[in-house]
Amino acid sequence: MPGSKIIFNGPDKTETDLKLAIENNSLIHIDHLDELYLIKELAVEMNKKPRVAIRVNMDTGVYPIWDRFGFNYENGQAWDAINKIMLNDKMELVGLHSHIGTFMLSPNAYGIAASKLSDLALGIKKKYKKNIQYLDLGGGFASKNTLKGSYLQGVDTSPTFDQYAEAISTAILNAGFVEDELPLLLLESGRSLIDEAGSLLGTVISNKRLSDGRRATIMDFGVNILFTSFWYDHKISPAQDFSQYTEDAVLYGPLCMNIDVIRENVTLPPLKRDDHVVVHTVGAYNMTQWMQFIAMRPAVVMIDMNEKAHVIRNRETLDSIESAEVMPEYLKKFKL
Amino acid sequence: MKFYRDSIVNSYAQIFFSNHKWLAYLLLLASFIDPYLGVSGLIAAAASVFFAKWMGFNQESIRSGMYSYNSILVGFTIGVFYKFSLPFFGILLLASLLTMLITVCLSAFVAAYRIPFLSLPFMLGVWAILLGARGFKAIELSERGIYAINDLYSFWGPDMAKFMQEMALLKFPLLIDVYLKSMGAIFFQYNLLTGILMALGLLIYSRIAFSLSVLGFLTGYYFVQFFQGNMTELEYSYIGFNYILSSVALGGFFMVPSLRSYLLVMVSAALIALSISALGNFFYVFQLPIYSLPFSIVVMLMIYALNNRYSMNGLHMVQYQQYSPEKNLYTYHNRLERFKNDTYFHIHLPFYGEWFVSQAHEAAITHKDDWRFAFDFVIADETQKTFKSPGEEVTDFYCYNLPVLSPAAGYVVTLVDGIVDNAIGEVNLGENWGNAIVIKHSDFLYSKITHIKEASFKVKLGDYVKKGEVLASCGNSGRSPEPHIHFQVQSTPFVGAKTLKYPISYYVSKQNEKYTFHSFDYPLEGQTIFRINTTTLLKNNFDFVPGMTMDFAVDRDGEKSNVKWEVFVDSANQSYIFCHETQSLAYFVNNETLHYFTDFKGDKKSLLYYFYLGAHKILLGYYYELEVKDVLPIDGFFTGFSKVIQDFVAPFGIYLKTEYSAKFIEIDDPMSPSKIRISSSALVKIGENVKRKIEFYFVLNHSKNFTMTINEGKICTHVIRIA
Ligand SMILES: Cc1ncc(COP(=O)(O)O)c(C=O)c1O
Repeated sequence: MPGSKIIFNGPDKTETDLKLAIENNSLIHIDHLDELYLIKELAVEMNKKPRVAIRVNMDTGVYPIWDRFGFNYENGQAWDAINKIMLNDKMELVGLHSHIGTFMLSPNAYGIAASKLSDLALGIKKKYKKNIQYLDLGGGFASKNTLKGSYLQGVDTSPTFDQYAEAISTAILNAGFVEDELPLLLLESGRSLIDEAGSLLGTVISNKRLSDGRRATIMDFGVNILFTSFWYDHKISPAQDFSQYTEDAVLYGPLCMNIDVIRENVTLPPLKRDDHVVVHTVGAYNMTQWMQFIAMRPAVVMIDMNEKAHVIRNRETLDSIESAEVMPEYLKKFKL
Repeated sequence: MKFYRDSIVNSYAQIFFSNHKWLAYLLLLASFIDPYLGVSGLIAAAASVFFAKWMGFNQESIRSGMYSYNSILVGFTIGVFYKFSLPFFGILLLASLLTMLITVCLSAFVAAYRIPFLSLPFMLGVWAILLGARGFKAIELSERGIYAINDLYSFWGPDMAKFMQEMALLKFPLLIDVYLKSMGAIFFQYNLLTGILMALGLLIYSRIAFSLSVLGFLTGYYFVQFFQGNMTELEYSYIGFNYILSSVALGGFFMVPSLRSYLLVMVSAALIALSISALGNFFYVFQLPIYSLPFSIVVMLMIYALNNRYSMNGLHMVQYQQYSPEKNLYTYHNRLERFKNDTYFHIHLPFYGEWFVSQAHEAAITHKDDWRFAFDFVIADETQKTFKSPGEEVTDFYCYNLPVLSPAAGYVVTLVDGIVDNAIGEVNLGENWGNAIVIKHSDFLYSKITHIKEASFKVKLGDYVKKGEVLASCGNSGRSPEPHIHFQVQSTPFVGAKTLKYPISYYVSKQNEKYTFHSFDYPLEGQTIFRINTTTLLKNNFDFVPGMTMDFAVDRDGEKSNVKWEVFVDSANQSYIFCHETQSLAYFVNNETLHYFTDFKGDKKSLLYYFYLGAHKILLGYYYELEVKDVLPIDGFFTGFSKVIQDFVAPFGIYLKTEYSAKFIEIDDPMSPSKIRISSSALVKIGENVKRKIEFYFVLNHSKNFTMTINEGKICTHVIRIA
């Protein structure tokens, strides 16, 4: 991927990172003033004009506001940053960016974000005669998962893409851009793009009754592998024939800690040791956040469009951990 | 001084409806074969120009020679009639002034009728002087005609006199002899040398004018012979040139040269013969000559009549006078090929993004009869399906609820709302157009979009909308079994109005990832099409605003130079790039979608001419490998021998074909490009045989300092815009 097609985003950008990005003409989404000043210095030093956008946070009616990222719209920080870039002429302001949150259940929030970014873009056009080339509305679109504590199923509550599209494009089309100067719309959908594409296959280790009589089932995966069980009530279904009799149960993981709960309350047919289950909609934010605690991480298999399976990540072995470890010389001689 | 020189020289060329320098100088030279006449003519020209300038008439008109060419002819007449003396010069100056004034008045008078004044001022001037002079004894009639050789002797010396005597003895075939002498007679010089010089001038100026002069003359000659007219008059007096002048005027100057204009010339020659006799008999009563009167009257009559036709019938008037039959013809064909479908008012597609034409003009389902020039647009996926499964709800259809745009600026004159969307598969035949909007763009030009979603209008009745403004959303109201928009152009504001055939100005069609550019074309059923999205980088590089200057560093095979251009806009509001050094102009149009050149005047070796060729037509939106084609005016682009032959036969067919093509070949980053490469070529060919070819490469960047590489044969020229 050529550097010029990469958007470099996030609060943590080192000087070396930024140099690399500037060198390759990447798009840099500025998060805070310290970064802005650093880029300005690097631009002079490298005699290049970096292409930048600023990240803008704003009140979209959804709380809490993610105001820790970027520059605030309402209190004028965003304009301040824009002025600093435009007046200095060391950087080229090509876009505006916002990422208002994640798993946003309100399309309207995107409509508000799009209006506010459009307003900035039109203001820049008016004040500096400069066309903003793109609006990047980030991600955050909800997948079909069910959030914890939600009364209804995600499949029923999550807005459709059409609803998001409607809200965003209506806001941009009504903002007042001249037809020829409509900015390009970029989206950074993460979760909604891949959540449904991933499933986790697991096995029952054991069943037991808790002190209050509830049924508990212990699985061979827990929050170590399924990090998102902190957020979602994942849908889980048995992977073999089962009886029509069901019972409420707690699903636990294999860890030695009390927090390792996959579902606090799930209605399942009775499962016995070595039975398999499928956990649905786990494609997003699990493989990026899982860890080797108690158990190694499992293999990842891809099933392609022709229904053929490919291992795309091997099951971990002890070596996976040890290979990265370095033993100080004097400890090597240590005898147990 | 330059002004006076240009004005005088142009007056001579004007006699043959030209502004050709070579022709002018040859005519001037020819007039001096009879020195007395030469001097009288020149004095008359200079005097008229001087008077006109002094009295403050339009500078450009004076410079074109149109106010003074009649005076030259009057000057000749006076030179023929009267003896050189002090009163002679007085009357010459007076006659020049008078003729110039008559010209000015007449030009203003006949302009209202869209007819030329030709040499009518000459005739009026001559009559006034001839009749008037009868009352003044100091103005003596000359007897010079008898002693012509003596004059030559005393003026040009013995050699010339001898040469002329020998010339007079030359035996040319009768027809050629009479033709050449008739030619000379335009200048009141009944000798071969003058005729030869003038005919030569005419040939150099224009092959078409020359062949027309021969055609007109021959027709007249044989007509007179056949009807047993006065052959002696034709062969021995100042009358035969009427055939020559009228044929050049009608066949190639006022009319676009063609087979029909040649036929018109032959008919006119017969009319001339008739009017020579008629006018001659009439004016004989007053003892007045008729000279070029038959020519003026017949041509004026023809032009006035032809201007009042309903149909051109293959006989086209020259709309934009170029002062050369060849240029008139080539320009006419070039414009016809380039802009024949162009409409003055541009109508664009009424949507964003790629849509699919489900019904085009004259289609089987509903685009019939009075509604045959309409389009239906939907959105289709790769498998040409217009909906996502299950396709039971309007919302399953890709185009449903998408914005509908104004195809051009105008006023909302009709708006129908309140009709609910049909369920899929059902139609509402009662309110068949459903929710609709009609926009008035100009008198008799309206566009209508129907089957709009209820309550989705963003504009109200009476609103002024801009091109591309969002009007409403696509729906499924009216006679619409599934969501789509119906789009048509019409000449009345009514919802049920019949359609008008009107092209879509500019759009791109896409097939197998290949883009095709369309200008003033009609989308076809099954095509995937979209409006042109312009690219800022292209727009910036071709943004030539009046007052702007451009500097270029040129490297022509190691030979370095600098060129400077400036952008102007003329009184007709036409923009042009001007090269100071070569005094060349390249007219261009930038209509936000296209940059294209329309005309070039000046040095065909200049960098500006090459730029005019290379950037002849550039689309201002980048689409990979999209090609824009055009034709180039042949005149000046190719000058070989086959061009001379082509000139002769051009009225009957053009075999020298020109081609222009420009193609986008590279963009570094489609989202925010900083570099775009375009290659283009200009060529002329006979059949498949390429006679001249030039290739161009443009590299455009943000700083507008584009580079142009020109390859012709082995010569490579690099050009960089430096400021
Ligand atoms: C800047 C930015 N864009 C896009 C995303 C993706 O968000 P999501 O997965 O909610 O669509 C994130 C995730 O944190 C982000 O920080």
